[in-house]
Amino acid sequence: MSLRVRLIGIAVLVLALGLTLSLGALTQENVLTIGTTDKITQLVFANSYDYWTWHTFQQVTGTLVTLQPGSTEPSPSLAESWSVSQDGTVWTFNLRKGVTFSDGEEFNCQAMAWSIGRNIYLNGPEGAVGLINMIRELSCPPAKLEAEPGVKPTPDELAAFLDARVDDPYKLIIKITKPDATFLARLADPITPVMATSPVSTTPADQFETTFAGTGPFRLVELVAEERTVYEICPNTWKTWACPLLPEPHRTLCVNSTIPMPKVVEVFYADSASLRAAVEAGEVDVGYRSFYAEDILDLQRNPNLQVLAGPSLSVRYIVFTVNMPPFDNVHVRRAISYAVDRDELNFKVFAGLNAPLYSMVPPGLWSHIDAFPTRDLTKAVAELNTAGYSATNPLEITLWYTPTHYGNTEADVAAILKANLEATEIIKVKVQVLEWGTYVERMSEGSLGFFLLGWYPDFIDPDNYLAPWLTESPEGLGTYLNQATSGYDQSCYDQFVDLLEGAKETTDIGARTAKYEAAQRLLADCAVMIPLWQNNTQAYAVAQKNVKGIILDASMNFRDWLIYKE
Amino acid sequence: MVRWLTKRIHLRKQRLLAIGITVVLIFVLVTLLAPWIAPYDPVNYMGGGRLEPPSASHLMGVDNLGRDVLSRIIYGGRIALIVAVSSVLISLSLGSLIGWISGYYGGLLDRTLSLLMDSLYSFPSMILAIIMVAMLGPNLLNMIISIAVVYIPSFFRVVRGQVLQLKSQEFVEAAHALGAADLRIVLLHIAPNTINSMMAVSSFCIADAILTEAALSFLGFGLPPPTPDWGFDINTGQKFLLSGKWWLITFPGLMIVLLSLGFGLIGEGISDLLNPKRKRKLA
Amino acid sequence: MISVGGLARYIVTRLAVTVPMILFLLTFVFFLLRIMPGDPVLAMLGGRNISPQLIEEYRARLGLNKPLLAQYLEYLSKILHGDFGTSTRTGKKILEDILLRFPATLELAIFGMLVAILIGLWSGTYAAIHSDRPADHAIRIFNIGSFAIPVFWIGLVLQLIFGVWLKWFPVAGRLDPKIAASFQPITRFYILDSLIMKDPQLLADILKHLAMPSFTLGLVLSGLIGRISRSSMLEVIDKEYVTTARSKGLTEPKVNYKHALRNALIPIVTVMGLQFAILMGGAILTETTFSWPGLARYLVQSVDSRDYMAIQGAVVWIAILISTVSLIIDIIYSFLDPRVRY
Repeated sequence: MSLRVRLIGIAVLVLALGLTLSLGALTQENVLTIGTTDKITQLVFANSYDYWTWHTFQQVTGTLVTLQPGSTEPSPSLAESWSVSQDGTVWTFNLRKGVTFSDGEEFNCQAMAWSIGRNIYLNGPEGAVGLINMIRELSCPPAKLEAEPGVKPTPDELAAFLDARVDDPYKLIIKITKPDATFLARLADPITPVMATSPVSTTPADQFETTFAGTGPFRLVELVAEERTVYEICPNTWKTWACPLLPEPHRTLCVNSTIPMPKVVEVFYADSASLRAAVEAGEVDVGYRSFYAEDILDLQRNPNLQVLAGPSLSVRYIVFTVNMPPFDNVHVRRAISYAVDRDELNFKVFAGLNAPLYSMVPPGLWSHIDAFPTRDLTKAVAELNTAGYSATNPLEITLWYTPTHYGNTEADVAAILKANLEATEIIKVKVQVLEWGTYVERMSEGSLGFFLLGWYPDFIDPDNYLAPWLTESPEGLGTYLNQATSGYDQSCYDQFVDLLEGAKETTDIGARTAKYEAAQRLLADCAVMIPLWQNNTQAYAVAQKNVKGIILDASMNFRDWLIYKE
Repeated sequence: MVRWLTKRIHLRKQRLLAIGITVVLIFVLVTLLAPWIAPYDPVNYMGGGRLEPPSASHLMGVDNLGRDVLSRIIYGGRIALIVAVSSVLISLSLGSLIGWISGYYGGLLDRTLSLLMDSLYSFPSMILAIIMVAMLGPNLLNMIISIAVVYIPSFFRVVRGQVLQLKSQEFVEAAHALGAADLRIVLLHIAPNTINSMMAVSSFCIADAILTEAALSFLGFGLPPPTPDWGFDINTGQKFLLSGKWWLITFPGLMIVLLSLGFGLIGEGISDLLNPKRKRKLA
Repeated sequence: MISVGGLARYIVTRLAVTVPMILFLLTFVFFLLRIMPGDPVLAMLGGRNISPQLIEEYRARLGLNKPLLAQYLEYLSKILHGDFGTSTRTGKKILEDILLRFPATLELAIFGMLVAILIGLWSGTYAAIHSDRPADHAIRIFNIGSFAIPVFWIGLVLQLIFGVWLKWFPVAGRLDPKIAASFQPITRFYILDSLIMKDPQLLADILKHLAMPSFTLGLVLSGLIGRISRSSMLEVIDKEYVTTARSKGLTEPKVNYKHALRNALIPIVTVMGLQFAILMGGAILTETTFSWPGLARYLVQSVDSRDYMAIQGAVVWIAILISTVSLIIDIIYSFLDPRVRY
């Protein structure tokens, strides 16, 4: 090799090394960086229904009512106060004055009703508009938007509504089809489609928008799919009206302008390992959702970091399709319920960080009781014998799971469950995997008999942990309880309808608690689903030592606007 | 075939071929004898604790479910071999058939088939395999089919080229003139002439198919666990990489490299036999 | 050398082959997606409270209720007009989605190729010059072995060594998030952007993130290039004109590099077209291992969520890309090799 070539090579190396090393001290103090393995699907109110997209909406816009840090009770936000009629179907909201959107437009009744009406009209396939399908009329008297079941407001009606005369721009009336104790909780939901968008800055009513102005603490500056989101503190009135609503010490911090940070960058990582490495290297100030158990344990040992654990209302469970043999036999289902070893599952797969779950309503939510039995192989065998199975006549079943939708611990879970059930020496388990699209299709057509699912609540109420599978949408979620073939299961269904419908008709918390407790006991008895664990690993945040103000509460809302650096 | 090999192989001269065959034979033996060799059950034994490093009782350590890594690796070889070899056998039969038809009949049919095969060939095989296996659903058969499809063009090209070359040669024409059926012409003349290069191509394809299978499993498009599978076990081990549990990815990865290399060396060796001049330059 | 008219004629001929090729791949994937089980509408709905009528409505909205052939023809005519359709997963125009992610993939591929060429060319030349000495044997073993290394695995091993143990390089992403906060990409080819912005700190960070992924991708391909450059160097070294050059009194290194290298480049360039396809396949795995926000990850995610239009769009895009690259390489080839005429 000629000398010249060598010299050039050495020069390039030195240059590269120098550039690399010179990078060390790069800090921008007024930027808060948050890393996640979650992702944004699409920023469309009427067509989004996933954690991080909703999280993004929360940063940039608002809802009528909200869950303040540490609370699971809906409290005032864009609505200052509200009342409900005697029969429980007419809700009157007094809206806050002096709120502006990030584009400067003023918030009022028409903007709010128009946004909700528009979402009802759009009702995107991936959205959660179904959660507020009890709304039948939105009005800013005398102007109104009708949304009878099956009848949506049309784009013309929506446009006309914005121009209509209104008596009081700060009074919103929502009529619902029948009394519903969960209605307010649904509105408090981080982002049900009930939200304020500025008509001025949005695209036409009949289109799925991608840009919008909101009322939130931040404004969205940049969104690069699968890379990052950049927020800047909003020039609007959020601080003046929202700071006083915060509990202490956030109120003082907010008033003193310590929070929100002027700029927040959220970075998307492909997996826990990358996120963890970024936190360890100080590339991000905070890491949230989701670390593997092993990474959390390691990070806890790192003296330069703080590891925060929050409560989690996310649950994982087994579902049976009750009209498919052999799962139409309650004894088979109970045997499986006795045979699963939640402790081993939790230790082996999650290093002991998740909590074994003995009811679909998780601990931390009112009315929770440990309704399901702990592991008992003798009883499992007895139930199998009752169902006619024995070592010579084994029960052969297939366990289905989906590989990526719930992170990549599912394979391990399936392996443990298989070993658990085969320990009865009567059950033989074949494990099958389907990617999410096919999984959902097969589950909804009722052809998966025994499979794993997960649930993150739409709104915080025991109803949302029971009704969807048992009474509201048993086909959609694969239990088919409403089409039960056995007499026993039919009676289960009738009892669930009584309990769950009854619990929604009253707002008396005592009466509701009693009904939900009964429903949990009934579920353990009917064993239509088997709760397995509470997903605590999802509720861990890991931060640099100088980061303050991270609130992890039961709502699992991650409020960027409360976080600051010292 | 054995005679063909013994006649040509001088193991001391053909070091690459010898090493390749030895490696592959060892893998085949070990996987065949897995039930006797593997110290533990690869699926249902979970008694090794949790994430234990290599020790006397678990030579390659223990995974997070308490399973023995060595035992899983031994059984994992079965999947790798079955998938790679059977998919390449399918591509070989289909590819040769289409290649023969195309080369023999020529004309528009030949041009169309060549175009189709070139399209498949030029497209990234990994992407094609992923789409196919994801759409078909992950099980052994679908995995074999998906991988088989991507190697068809390799055999198509070899056979078509050979057929075109031989077609112009006199003895085929002579056979044709004598009224021999198409199939007989192929079996008698063309097949023996292509077998050498087919073996080399097959070896290379198997070597590549082992990597493709591992990659599909790694991406989560492979066989359903708890089936022991190298690619999937690396995927599992990835979760514990930053925690320093190096043994979970190292051993399955080395097995993939070794087995794929074994077939690769066989391919190299055969190529050398076919083209001795090439040896000095390539190998 | 090339005459302009000849080149134009050649390009036209090539297009006549390329277009049916892309059409075939498109057709293949189109029908593959539709014959197979799995419903994009249900994949989107994800097991929610939803009525069968509504499912039909969405299916109609996506045009999935029409006969297969009608869907196919409609899709074809759209593609011809440059309309790749809308993604059911991201809700955006697929072409927009692709263009957003594609620069990341291309940047990775180009640097991967660069690494492969640097390692391959250097090692191959070195081996040829030191033919049959220990260095040559070592390089030959590496060249053969490099085929057998799974891309994703070597990526993990590099992460373990250089990311976890030595902490030299970041294990994920394209850019440090703190820098990303104030970075407004222009072309989305980050290296190019940093050069346009004349920001050395930015460039350094981009290179730091690019180092391990491109090395991973390049390493696996370097073997083939190494073999080819070794054999063509050997051939060239033997050739007369080098001997002539030597007799003219040129010094040894100049003989080896100036004359021989140029001729050794030719076979390397010819395989680059095919290599590019392998590179794209390798990029899927590299992007997965290093959280690289590129096209390959987009494709895998689209497959996961049964996003038909997005999968088709990505396949067509990659097919077009590969054809274009191979065309460009042919043209470069004609410049390198004076014997080639069109």
